[in-house]
Amino acid sequence: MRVLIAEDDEPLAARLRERLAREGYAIDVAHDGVDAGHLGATEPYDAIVLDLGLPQRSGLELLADWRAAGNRVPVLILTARDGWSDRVEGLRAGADDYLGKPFHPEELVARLHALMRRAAPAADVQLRAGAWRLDETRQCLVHDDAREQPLTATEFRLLRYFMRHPGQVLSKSRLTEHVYEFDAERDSNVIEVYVRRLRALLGADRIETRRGQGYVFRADA
Amino acid sequence: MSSLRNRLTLALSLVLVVAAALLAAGLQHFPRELVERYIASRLEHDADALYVQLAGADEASRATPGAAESALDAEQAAADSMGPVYRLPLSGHYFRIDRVARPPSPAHAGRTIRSRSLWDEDLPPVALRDTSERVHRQPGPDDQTLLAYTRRFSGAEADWVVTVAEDVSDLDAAITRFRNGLLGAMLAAILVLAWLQRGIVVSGLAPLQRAVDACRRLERGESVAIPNVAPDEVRPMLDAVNRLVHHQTQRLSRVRHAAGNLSHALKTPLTVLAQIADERASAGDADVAGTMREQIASMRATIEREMRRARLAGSGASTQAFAAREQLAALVEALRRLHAGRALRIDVVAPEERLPLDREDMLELFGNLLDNACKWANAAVRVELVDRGDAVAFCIDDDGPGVAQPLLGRLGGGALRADESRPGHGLGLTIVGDIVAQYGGTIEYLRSPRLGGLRVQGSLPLPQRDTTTGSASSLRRT
Repeated sequence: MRVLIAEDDEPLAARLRERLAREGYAIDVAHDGVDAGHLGATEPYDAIVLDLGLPQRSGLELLADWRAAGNRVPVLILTARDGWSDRVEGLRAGADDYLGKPFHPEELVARLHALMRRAAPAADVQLRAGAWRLDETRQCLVHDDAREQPLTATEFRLLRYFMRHPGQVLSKSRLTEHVYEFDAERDSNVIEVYVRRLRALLGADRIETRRGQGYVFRADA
Repeated sequence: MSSLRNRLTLALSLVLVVAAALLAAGLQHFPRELVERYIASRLEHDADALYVQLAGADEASRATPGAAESALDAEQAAADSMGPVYRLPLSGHYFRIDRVARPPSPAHAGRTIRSRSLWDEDLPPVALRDTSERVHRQPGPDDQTLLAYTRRFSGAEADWVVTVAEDVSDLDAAITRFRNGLLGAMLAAILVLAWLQRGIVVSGLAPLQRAVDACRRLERGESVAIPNVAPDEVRPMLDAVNRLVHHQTQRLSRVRHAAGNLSHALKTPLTVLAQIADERASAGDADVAGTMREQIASMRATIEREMRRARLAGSGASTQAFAAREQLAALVEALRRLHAGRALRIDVVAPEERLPLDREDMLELFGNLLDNACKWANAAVRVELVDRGDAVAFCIDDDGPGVAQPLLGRLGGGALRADESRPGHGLGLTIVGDIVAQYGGTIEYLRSPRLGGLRVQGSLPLPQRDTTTGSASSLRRT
């Protein structure tokens, strides 16, 4: 799951990046409206945290542009202007949620999580694969017999993306895009390694290989 | 008298009445004098003619020595020759001639000749004091009113005092009729003129009324500026009002903008501080974290409250009006997104009209109330707005758990969070209280009889709206 944080206050953006990375999200940060507009329009984000008071281009402008271009990415507006007329304006422009500053980081995490869950093909609160359940808070797999299987950060990100998009053919490049940040070194062969790891954990038939296309996750196999 | 219309009408009517009075007074005098002067000049001619006749007869009688009797006869005959009107009895034309000898001699004692039309009546002798002629009125025979002309002619041996009189009662009656007719016509003309003047005054002041109406519309928020199509006398006023409104609106938007900027500038660092506090807490430094959080919460509450207060337009501000149904629908759409995870039914009952209340204030008020209701509701929220003419009544119900009786009275009384388990800062209802107070309205919290949860009901007074039509019609009536 990849998230763009468009926030001009650098200390706040850095802290948000750190906090959300801990949740297993791949985070990009934009400090001004032009960067944010460009990233939002070209990168396949799963959610965007948007400050309205961005320099150069306002958040509302960016949002209107994205929506006009048919980009349905969930957007959470994060702003100090939290009067109700601003909120109504923001939500009418196409935002999906609105959080006024200052906020509790936990609330932001919870809301962002809910936004992405609702927007994904599998909107269940609990993600399951056979007897395994993915604990998103602790980032590990829990078996019905209470056995726990720790996951590395990348394993968790990849598995969560698979589980949120069951039955879809996911290409290696798409998986890379949603698991790694913009400036991360991307090597699609690494994905193969992680898929092999996940198959070893969950069973080989959970993740099918479609030659030349990518992988399909089977939640009900 | 404060009505310009009435003042102008009264002044114009007064002028009209004074003019009419002067005309009426003139009418009393002039026609009569005109007629009298005309008749008097005719009588003067007759008097002259009489004297000529008599003087001739007198001279002839003195040339032929004879009796005084025959002189009188001759003179009478000469006088009779003046024409038939002086012979016809009670014809209305009379004369009397007195011959006064000079010096008085027994032979020629004073003689008096009367017109035969006098029949057996008499004209009383007219006393001419110093003057040689005189015109006066006197009662005549047969209840006639006579206009008499008297003149003294000085002959060689005697003075002749000739009085010629004519009945003017018919003329008097005609003059009276003429005058009454004219007075009547004048009265009618005054009434018509007064009515016309009233119309002119009313239509002349109509631009003022239109300006007042436009100002009222502005006050109700139905328009953002007054169209300044008005006469030269009114336009400067409208321009001034427009400038003032523009200034006021700009100032409000500047204040709102500044409040927004300031809170933005303060809140972002506060967010960072709050996160540092969280980090300290997770690092085990609970004391410092607790103190920091407390201070941050207090700063945040102050900023939030004062900023929102500064942004309140309050009643009487000429800002954007609140289009009740449209804006509540937009708000509900926003709330549906904010509470997208839950299947909430939000019913809106609101009139399709623009209420003279500030749009932003109302969004703030109903946004907080509805958000609160949505947070607590299980499945249903209902908002109802009723325009009662002098106030707008609102009522928000939810089917949530409601609030325990002892807490109901304390809601909205300060930053009280009845439950810490749901997101929010407990400021919403405080802001609601501020807005309601700013508008001089009422608000109360009770158990919802309709949905079983919390009901918030109250009312906001509206600026008077029907005064324009009311005062206009009362002006038209007077």
